[in-house]
Amino acid sequence: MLLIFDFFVFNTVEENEYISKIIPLQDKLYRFARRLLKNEEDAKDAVQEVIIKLWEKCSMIDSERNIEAFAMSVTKNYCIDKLRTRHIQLVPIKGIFPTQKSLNPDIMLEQKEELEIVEQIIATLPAKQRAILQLRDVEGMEMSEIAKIMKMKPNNVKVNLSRARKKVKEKLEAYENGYKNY
Amino acid sequence: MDIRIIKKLLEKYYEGETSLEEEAMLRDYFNNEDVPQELKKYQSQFVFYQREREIEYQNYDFALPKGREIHHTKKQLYWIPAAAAVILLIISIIFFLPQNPFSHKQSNVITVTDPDSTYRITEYALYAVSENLNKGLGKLDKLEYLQEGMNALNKININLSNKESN
Repeated sequence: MLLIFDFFVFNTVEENEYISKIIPLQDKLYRFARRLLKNEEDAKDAVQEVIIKLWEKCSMIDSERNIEAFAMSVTKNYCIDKLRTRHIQLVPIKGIFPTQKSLNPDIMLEQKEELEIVEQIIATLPAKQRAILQLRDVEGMEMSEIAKIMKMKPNNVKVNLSRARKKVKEKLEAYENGYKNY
Repeated sequence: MDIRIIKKLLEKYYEGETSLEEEAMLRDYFNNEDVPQELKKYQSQFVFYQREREIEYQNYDFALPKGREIHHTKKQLYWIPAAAAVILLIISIIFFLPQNPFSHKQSNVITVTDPDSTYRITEYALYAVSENLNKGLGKLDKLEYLQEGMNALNKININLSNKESN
């Protein structure tokens, strides 16, 4: 009896197809989760969870549907949920600003340090803006695609993107001025 | 590249109005060219975004849970008995129909077109009917005995009632 049922289940073919679809997306999912959760370990867990979740919903993913947008959307939902339940806010931003006298100006000039500051600044943005900034400026996605992932109107995406970019600029300027004043 | 173009692109960029191509231009510019002092403050963002793109998820070996197979098989199970039941139903309906295509009983219906044989067959049929009818009617003769019995009873009845009235 079981043999008959096994005949109807094509696991290996489906499995291979799914893996071949999901592997190219993993980096993108990881970067997105990392940006939202601000933590590498949590981001890795998130990718694992999302891959499993997608696998369980695999029958819903047909070739016509955009698996990338769907996967990103699932990742976004997962991360937002995680952020809601997370009580301790990671990455304290105040520590790195030049109001601290312990900062060494020579190190500040190093590009690496500067990039870390950009990262810290982005981490202070609201989750929605962080997600949109990541999808656009890092992943280079179309506005319509971002709108689909974020379940927002394209115009709303644009407004949030502009707001996020401006905030990054303002905070960078504040940082540079603070450093120069110091 | 012309700084004025970059400045214009930056303006558009902060309004969220640059296209993907224009953003790629900005990224290329700030990552590869010698950036003048007045634009230096914008550089770190674009360098950061470029670096972020290169981050990889270094955990490729994952095991898909086997749970889904059971889930899948269960789903498959639902339609198999349903299909079997429908097939059984159809077969039984066909089998028990009055005109069963699988039975080998000869049909009672004869189709005749020739007028002569039609006449003969009809005559025969009517004859058979009348004979059977006569057979049936023959049994009715026995009713006469019943009638006689009834008449006798009536006479007794009348006699009895006469006596009572006297």
